[in-house]
Amino acid sequence: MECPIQTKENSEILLDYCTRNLSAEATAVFELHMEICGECRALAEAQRSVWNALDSWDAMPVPADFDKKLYARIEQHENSSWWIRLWHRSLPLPFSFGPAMPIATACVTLCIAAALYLPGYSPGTAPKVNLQPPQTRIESSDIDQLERTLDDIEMLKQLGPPPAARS
Amino acid sequence: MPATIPPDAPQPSPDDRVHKDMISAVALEHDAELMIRVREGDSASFALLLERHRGPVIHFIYRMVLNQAIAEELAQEVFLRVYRSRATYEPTAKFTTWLFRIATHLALNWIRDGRNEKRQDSLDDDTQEGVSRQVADQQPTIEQAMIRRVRLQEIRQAIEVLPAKQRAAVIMHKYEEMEYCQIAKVLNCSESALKSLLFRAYETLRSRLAHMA
Repeated sequence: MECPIQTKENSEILLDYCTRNLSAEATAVFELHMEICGECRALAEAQRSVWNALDSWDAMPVPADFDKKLYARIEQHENSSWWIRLWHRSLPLPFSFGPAMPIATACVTLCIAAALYLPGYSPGTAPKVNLQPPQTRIESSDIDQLERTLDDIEMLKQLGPPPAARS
Repeated sequence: MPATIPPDAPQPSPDDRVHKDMISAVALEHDAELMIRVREGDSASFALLLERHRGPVIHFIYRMVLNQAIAEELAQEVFLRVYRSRATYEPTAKFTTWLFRIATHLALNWIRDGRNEKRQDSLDDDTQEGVSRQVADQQPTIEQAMIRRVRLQEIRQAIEVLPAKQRAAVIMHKYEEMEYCQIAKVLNCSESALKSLLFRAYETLRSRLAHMA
């Protein structure tokens, strides 16, 4: 036989041997193989130890009021509104919104962000814009600039002539 | 390997085949029959199903989530889902495969959502239970009780470090004694993938528990 360690396809032989689920014929073949294969022998021994160790782990006892609580939940479900029952019934089992909800939320957020920031979009509550005609705006800025220039000339006059002119 | 039928072998009549199929279906899928009766409104059949599968489901989920209260809650959710989906139930697979698929799905979701942080039972529950059972049987010494406690701790830790899918596979294989094909269906993978999964899981367990010989 091919060594179960060498061929992964045969790995179940080792597991079945340790769980005593191997047929008598296959067991005999495997035991013959183990006589010449120290690796398989060691592995089978280790696997059997694991198997025995796992045997010592008892599960929890069934709670005494399990059925009572379950029937109470069933009754609560039966008394719930028709659309809740329909919702539960329409969900294929097993199914949950676990991974779907964050993805859906992310998609909605991205859509909103794209709609708000993409060029060419005019939202309902647009930011305030200057409703004055363009020409008026240019004029007002020219007046401001003129005023600032006159102020500067006035300030220079107050400081007196430049040093070269004084000499 | 499938048995080959010689060409000159007498062919069974269609009636024979139907009869044979019916017998095997009834024998193998008594649970599916019960579920169909539940679908038709027979609450006694649901009680029978509950009686038969309540223990294995609770034990399976407990070993997955390592918390008694959560295991009970999730097991109730499993049976509630079974009841809720009675109207749409179709016996396309073995009932236990379907049942454990729901149980595995709920347990894996619970583990994945990280709700198990710091919510696992302390070992005291297990140990006290085990010790009290042993007290009645063999009167163990304090030393024996402590050794048992340490062993249980190691087993639980070894199971806990396994990836959730490997954990589910090992528990179904070891404790529920399910066949490879059934576990593969529950975990939605091929049989060869399952064998590889189990081999890796037992490899990890061997490295952690082999000294417990």
